[in-house]
Amino acid sequence: MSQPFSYLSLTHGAVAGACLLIALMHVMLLARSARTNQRVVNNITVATMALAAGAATLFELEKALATDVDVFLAGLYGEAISAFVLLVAVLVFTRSYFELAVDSLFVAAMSVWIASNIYQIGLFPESFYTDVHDLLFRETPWGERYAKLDATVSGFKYFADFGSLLVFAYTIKATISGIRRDQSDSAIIVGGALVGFMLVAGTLVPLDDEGLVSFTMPIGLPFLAIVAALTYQLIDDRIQISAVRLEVEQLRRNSLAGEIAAGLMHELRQPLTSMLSNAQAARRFLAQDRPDLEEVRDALDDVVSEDKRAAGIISGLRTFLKQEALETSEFDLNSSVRHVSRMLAGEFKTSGTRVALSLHPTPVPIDGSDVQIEQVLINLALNSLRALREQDRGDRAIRFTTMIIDGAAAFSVSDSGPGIPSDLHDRLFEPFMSGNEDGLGMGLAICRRIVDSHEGTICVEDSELGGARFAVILPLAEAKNV
Amino acid sequence: MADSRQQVFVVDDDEGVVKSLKRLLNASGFAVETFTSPLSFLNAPPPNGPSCVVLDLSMPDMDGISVHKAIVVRDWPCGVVILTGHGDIPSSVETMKLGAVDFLTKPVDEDDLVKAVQEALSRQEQAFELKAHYEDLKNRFEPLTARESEVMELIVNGRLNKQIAGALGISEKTVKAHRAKVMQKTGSRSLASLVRLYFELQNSGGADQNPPA
Repeated sequence: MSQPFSYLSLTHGAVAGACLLIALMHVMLLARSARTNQRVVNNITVATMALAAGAATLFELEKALATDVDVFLAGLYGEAISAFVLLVAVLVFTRSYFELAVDSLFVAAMSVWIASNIYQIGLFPESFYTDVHDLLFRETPWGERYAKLDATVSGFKYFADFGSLLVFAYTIKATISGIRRDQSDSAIIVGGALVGFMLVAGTLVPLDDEGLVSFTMPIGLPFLAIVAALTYQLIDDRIQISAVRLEVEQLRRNSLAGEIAAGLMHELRQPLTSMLSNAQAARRFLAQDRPDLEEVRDALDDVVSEDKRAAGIISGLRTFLKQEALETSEFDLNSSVRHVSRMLAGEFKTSGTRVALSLHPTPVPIDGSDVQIEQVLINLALNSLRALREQDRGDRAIRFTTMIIDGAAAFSVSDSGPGIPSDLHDRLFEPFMSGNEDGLGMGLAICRRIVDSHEGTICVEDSELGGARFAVILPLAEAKNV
Repeated sequence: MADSRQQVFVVDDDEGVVKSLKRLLNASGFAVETFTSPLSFLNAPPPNGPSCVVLDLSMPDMDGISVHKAIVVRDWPCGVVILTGHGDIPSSVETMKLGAVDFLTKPVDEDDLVKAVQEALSRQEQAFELKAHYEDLKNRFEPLTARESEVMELIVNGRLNKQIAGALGISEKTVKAHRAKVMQKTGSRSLASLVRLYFELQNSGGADQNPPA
C-alpha cells in the first residue's frame, strides 16, 4: 500500500515547529530580560506554554497515526502531561501579566487542575477510559485515515474538565480586571486570545470525541494562536518600554546640552564684558592729551588675563565633556603640588594668602596624567581662593598636603575660608553645583571625573585651618602595577 | 570727597568686570567706587549728592532688583543703570517700572554705558536741584506764625488790608505789621513775588514728595 502524502503530519508538524520557534524566541528574550532586571516570569511561562502546545500537537499526531491501541494510549499519555503543563503555565502567566494578587479563584483553579491531573496521569489509562475496546479508523474529508479509540469514557474525566473550566473562568476574570485597570489594549489582546482560543479548544475536543466532526485538528493550533498573541503583546510592551527609555535619555541629553550652553554663555559673558571694557578704557586713556600709559598697560594686562580665563572656561568644559585620551606616565605628586603652587603664586600674593606646603619627605609616585592631576589641584586651589576672598576676616591661608597612607597616595588642599555647609557635601561634586552664581559649577565635577579615571576618591571635610579641606586618595604607582 | 567729578558706583559680583568698568568709567571722567557685593554697597554710607549706580542684575547674595528697590525706599539720590547677562524681559520691565534709566546687556559698549550713566546723573541732578528749590521754599514759609499764615493766605488771594482786618477782626495796623513780617520772612520784595513763591510751594505738594527721578 503506497502511503499518500499526509496532510495531518504536515499540519501537526508545522504547528509544533512554530510552537518551538516561539518558545526559542522567549528564551532569548528571557536572557535579555534577566540582564536588564526585568520581570522574567512572563517569558518563562509563555515559553513553557509554547513548548507544551508543541509537544501536545506531536503527541496528537502520534495518536492519529497509531495503528494499535498501545501506541494510541502512549500518545494520549503524553498529550495529557502536555495539557497539564500548558494550563498551569496559562494560570501563572495570567496572574503575573495582569499583576493580580493570589485570590480564591486562582487557588481553586490551580488546585483542582493539579489534583485532577495527578489522578488522571497517575491512574492512566483507567482514569480516562473504563473500557478500552480497539481502535476505530475514520477518514478526513480529503481521505486521510486517522485513528480514534473505541472506549467508554471514565466519569472522572469530567473532574479534569471542571479543572480546565476553572482555569478558563480565571482567565476571563483576570482579563476583565485588566481591562478595568486601564491596560485595555494589551488586556484585550492577551485576555481575548486566552479566552477565545481556549473556547475554541474546549469546544473542538468534545466535538471530535463525540465524532461530530470528522477530522482531527491539531489541539496545539488554538494554543499556538494564544502563544502568538501573547508574544506579540510582550514584544510590543518591550518596544514601548525601550522607546520611552530612549526618549527619556534623549531629553536628558538635550537638557544637559542646554544647561551647558546656558552656563557657558553666562560664564563667558563676564570675561567678554571685562575685555571689552578694558580695551575701550585703554583707547580712551590713549586719546587723552597726556596718555597715562601705566593705566593703558594695566588695562591690557587685564584683557590678557580675562582672555585666559575665558579660554580656561572653554577648555575646562571640554575636559568635562569628553574624556581626552591623555598620555599617562609615572610622576611625583610632590612635584605636581610644587608646580601648581608656583603657577598660582601670583594669585596667592595679590589676595594676601599664605601658602603652606607640607609634603611627604620622599617622592609620591602616581601612575596617570600629571596634567589632569594638576588640573585637580588648580581647581581646588582656585575654589579655596574664591572662598577666602568671600570673607573679609584677616588671616587667609591655604595648605597643600601630600602623604602616603596605607600604601595609597593622598593629597589635600585646605583653606581658612568660611567652609562648606555639611548638607552640601554630597551634592558638591555634581555638575552645575556652583557656590557662586556666575560659575559654571563644573570645577569640582571635573575634579571628581579626573579622580575617578585615576581610580581614586575625592571628598570634602572640615579643615584644620577652619575652612574646607578637599582630600584626594589615589593608588600609588607600585601598588597599581601589582 | 573734594572730588569735583560725578560719582558713579559699580556693583557686580565679578571682580574682573568691576575692575574693567571702573577703568572705563574713570577714563570717561567719572569718580568710581566699586562693590563686589550688593550688601556692602547698601551698607556703605549713602551718596551725599547726585550719583549713579551701575548694577548687575544677577548676583549671588541679593539680586539687582532688590538692591534697586532698597535704593528707591531709602530715597538715595542715585540713578540706576542695570547690567545683565541675559536680557530677560520680565526683569527689564520691573526695573524700568522702578525707574531704571537703562537696561544694558553684557558685554556692554562704552558709548551705551557712558550715555546711560550721563543720563542717570543729569536726571539726578535735575531732581536734586528741584528738591533743593522746594526745600528752600519750604524753609521760607515755615517760620511764619499761625496768624501770619492766615494773613498771608488772604494776601495772596488778593484781599486788601482793610478786608483782612475785617475778616480776622484785627486792626489794619496790625495787618500791616504781619504783612511786613511775611514779606521779610519769605524774602519777597513784592506782592507778585510772594504770590509766585506761594503757588510754587502749593504745586510742589508740600515739597515732601520725591521729585520725579
